[in-house]
Amino acid sequence: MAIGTGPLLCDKCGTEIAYSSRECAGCGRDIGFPNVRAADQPVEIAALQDRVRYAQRRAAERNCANELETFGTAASESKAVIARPMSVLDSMVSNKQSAMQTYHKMVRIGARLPENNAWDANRDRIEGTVHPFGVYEHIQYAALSLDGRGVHWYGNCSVTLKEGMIADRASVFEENPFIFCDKHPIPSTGSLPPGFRATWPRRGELAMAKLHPRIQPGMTGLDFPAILVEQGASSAQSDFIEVNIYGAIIAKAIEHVILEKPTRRADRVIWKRIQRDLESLGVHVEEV
Amino acid sequence: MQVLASGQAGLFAIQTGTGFTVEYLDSGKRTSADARDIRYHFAGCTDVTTLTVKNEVEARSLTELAWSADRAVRLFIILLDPNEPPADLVEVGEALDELLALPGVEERVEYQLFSAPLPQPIEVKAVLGSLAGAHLSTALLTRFLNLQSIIGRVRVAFDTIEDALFDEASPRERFFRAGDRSW
Repeated sequence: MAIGTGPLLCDKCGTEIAYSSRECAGCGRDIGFPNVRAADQPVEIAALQDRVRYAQRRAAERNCANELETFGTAASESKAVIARPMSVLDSMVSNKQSAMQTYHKMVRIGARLPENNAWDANRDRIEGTVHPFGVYEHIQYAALSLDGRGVHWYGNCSVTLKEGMIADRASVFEENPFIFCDKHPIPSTGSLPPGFRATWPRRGELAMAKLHPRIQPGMTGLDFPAILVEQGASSAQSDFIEVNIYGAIIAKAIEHVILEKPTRRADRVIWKRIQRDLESLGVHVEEV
Repeated sequence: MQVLASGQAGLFAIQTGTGFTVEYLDSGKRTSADARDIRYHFAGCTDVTTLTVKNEVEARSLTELAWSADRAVRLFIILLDPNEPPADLVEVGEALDELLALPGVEERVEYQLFSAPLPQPIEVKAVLGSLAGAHLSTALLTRFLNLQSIIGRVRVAFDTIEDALFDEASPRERFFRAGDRSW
């Protein structure tokens, strides 16, 4: 729901739905997740489809229309992958009551202090631009991936999440919102331009809209993972479509883990335990 | 110079004119990070700190200490896990001894571990038997066990302090989250 596109009403009782609500204030009905509602607004879908049509025209001009369609189909089957240091995965897996929480929740419960630097100070403003009215405090970030690998600079564990555990509460966003907000300056009273986010089922469309310039004639499925997640030569040069997942993530949501084999003895000993715990949860573990 | 560091992540990020230079302790690899993507490097870590240091050597050394203490606490907790087969604890004790031998690590580990009593009894003989060659781990575990009643009394006393007496939000929770990360 882009701000200024009119009120959204509960289809059961007609009460106006507040942007950040999880349930209708009138009848208490579960009205879904605010980030998904926002991405599912007609104005967002229409703008995204405009971008897709533009991408298709440009691809046709470059003789790679079929490749773009194949890429879009592949991306619509992509997974949400979180890259984290091994110790974060360990906390999540070793304590069954533990959940991966958002930065803002950790700050709120006192598990983490906001850093005294300009970037943490800006987090609320930038993340609040994409998910206003406090919704950003509930959002966890992952990357859309076709090969189970997240951006490797962000952690030596790539954790693929089960689609069934996130599909209802996940939306996707064009890119790192800090970068987006630099490219698209938004006035203080303005809101996010439509067409740069999508619901989970429409993630393939967003991938086509964003990444069509990188599709080339003759590309096949083997080329697509590196298109969807650009593993840059540096962290700053990496790029991906951000998956925004509302709420905590527990170990049961993990489908697959790829780990760069630890080099230090302590980490190898700890990893052995994590691996055992993951396998007991039915998670497929891959060491590289 | 200003540095962001996390023992859990095993990396530190040096602030530069345009962003950060991130160094990973295990591989020694370095990368330039944008100020705009630095948040991803520390996602999920609860021990991120801002350090003011003289140079990179000091930054690396402090992050190494944070990493070693983090892993030592984790290894110690594995020792206390009743589900761990005693035979598997041999390698845990050896790895823990390596870390405890580093200056400053034992003290940091005690700060965390001695904040709460054992949540459940352990097979002391079996665990100590697995630590036969790991003298520092044996000494730490023995000290920890001997201090259980004092640790318990202090914890109970701390728990009775009213939240209103603290001058910041949720300090008690942070205190225990820091100590209880994997209990």
